[in-house]
Amino acid sequence: MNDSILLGFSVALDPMNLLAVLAGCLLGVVVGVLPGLGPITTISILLPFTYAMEPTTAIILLAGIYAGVMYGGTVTSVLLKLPGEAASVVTAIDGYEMARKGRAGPALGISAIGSFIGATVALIALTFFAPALAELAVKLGPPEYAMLALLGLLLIAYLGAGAFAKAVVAAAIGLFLATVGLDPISGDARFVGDSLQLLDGMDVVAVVLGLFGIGEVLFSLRERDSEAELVSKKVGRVWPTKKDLRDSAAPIARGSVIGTLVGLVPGGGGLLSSLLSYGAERRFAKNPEEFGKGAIQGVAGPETANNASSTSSFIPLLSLGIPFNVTISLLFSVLLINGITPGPRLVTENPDLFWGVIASMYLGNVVLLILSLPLVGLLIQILRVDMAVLSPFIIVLSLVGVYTIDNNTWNMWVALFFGVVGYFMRIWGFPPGPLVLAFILGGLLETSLRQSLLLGDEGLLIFLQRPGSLALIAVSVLLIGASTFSAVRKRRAQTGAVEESIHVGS
Amino acid sequence: MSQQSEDVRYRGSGQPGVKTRIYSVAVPVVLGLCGIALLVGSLALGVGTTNEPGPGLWPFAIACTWTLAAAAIAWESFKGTALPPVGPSQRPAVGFGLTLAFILIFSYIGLIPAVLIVTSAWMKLLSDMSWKRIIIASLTITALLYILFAIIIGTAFPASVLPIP
Repeated sequence: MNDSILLGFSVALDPMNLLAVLAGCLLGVVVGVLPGLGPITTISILLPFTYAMEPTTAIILLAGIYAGVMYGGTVTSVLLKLPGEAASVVTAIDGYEMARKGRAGPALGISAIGSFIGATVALIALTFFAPALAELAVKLGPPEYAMLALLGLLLIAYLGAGAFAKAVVAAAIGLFLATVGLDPISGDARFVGDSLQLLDGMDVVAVVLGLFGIGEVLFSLRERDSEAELVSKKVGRVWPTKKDLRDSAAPIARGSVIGTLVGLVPGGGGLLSSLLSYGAERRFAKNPEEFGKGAIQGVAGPETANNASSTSSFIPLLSLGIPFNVTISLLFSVLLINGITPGPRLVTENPDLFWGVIASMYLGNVVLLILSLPLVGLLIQILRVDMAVLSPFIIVLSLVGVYTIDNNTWNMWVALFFGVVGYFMRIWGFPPGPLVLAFILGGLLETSLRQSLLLGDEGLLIFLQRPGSLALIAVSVLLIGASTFSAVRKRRAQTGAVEESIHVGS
Repeated sequence: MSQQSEDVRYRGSGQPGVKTRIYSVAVPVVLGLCGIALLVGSLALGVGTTNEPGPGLWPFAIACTWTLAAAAIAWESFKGTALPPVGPSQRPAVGFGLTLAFILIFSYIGLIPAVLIVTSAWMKLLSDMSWKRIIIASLTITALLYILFAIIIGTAFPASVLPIP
């Protein structure tokens, strides 16, 4: 283990990789502050630029951006009550109230400290748990992989914001898009019509940039830019007081554990972990009535949890080769583009990449702690960037970036098409996340399913004959059952309430 | 606000009108029809058997899931859960038109005019910025993109009518 960690640090300290850590963290923090540019859009805009990089450097850069965005998103939550990214929604509740009371500095300070501790705990779990899980995962066959990917998609649809049926439709569209092109087993062309471009399938960057970049910009045009109220341009003393640190110690400890565990769950991600942490802190608080009025525990816990979960979500990627959230799935596609198959063999076949990425995350975590506090003043200046300038910049940068994938305008049209799709999905409440994840996981899922069917003589029974896949099916069935049961119960409760109001009214 | 609560909000505001109900059912019905089209397409590819799966088997499974989920949404809408309205669409339509224009100008005229024209028009039509700020901002964006893509990356741009990309 020691040799592996040393190998990792020797890779991470390579000048190019060190530069990637610094650039990624800085870029991430800046982007996290800007509204309309989340980690998914930023990473997808940068994907074409990483094609020319070494895969290890590319992943280090993108991992730095991911961690940086998580830090940066807090600044707008606290100062403007406008979360820079989804996971910071919870921080906005008490963080903004703290800022209104003149305590923006300690709110940002405790966020940075909590984020550092949460990410460190998750990194330790990643260092020790991922190789062990990879050893176990080597024993998994196509039936288990197929069921694991299927369960992952189900959980993402189930845990995501919005109606389950809409998430299932979105995931089905993503799975369908993954089938466009040549059949991976028979080589037959599927759903390509007369298009030669479609034979190679659709490019993930064009689809993601369309859905998240262009779709989000078009959606944001529905309303004129509203001026959010900046509580204070002076943040003051950032370092929290002794009392703040004492009050935050337990929430940070709990947030670290909650976040690390939630990051391992498909679809868990930052928002779910910060919501769970906020709920836990309210329950444990001596004065729960303080929550929503500027309780530092309501900032420390959720911020710790969302950074811990974004770090621990690398565990399933690096050990199982299955991404459990959209941002991580983009890193998965970078590895695939570079001819590296993420999975249990990554640790033995590409130890420099595996350990190099982990070591760079340790470095990035320290860089973020050191840089984020002094940078707060500069970040406030970035808040002044007008969306009217940012929107066309995102559009032209996305489109030219998409063009550089293969120097062909075809992908620009694909991005525009998915921009319109993303726009309407947002209006009608179909989450774009499951679509992207299903699109990226589609190939793996289909290949594993068909390999499983070809392996056995009894068709679909193979999934019931193997204990691993049987257990995963049982969990999936339970999830669908629970989702249906809760929908029926909610409908009954609503019908009852309507009938009662009619009765009272009459 | 989550979609579920948004949907509930629509329910709670009283029964939706006939037009809203038709629109709310029409969207998932169209989606369901797309699912059925995929079903037909996958059957045409050949589903094979579970021991010898054909290229259409997996798309067939996807199509079934897609159609069933769309039917569930249509049923919900029919029972009264209205879809959120499309709402104001003039500004997004302008944004879409400018994005389309960018691709066309980029393809047939070149990178610099495409970025200059589209970013200036975007800021003029979709914000209250002064011409002075618009010119400074669009020139800055154009210069940034030119340096990044043409000089640093050395992208081969489409044949341009201008001597520079």
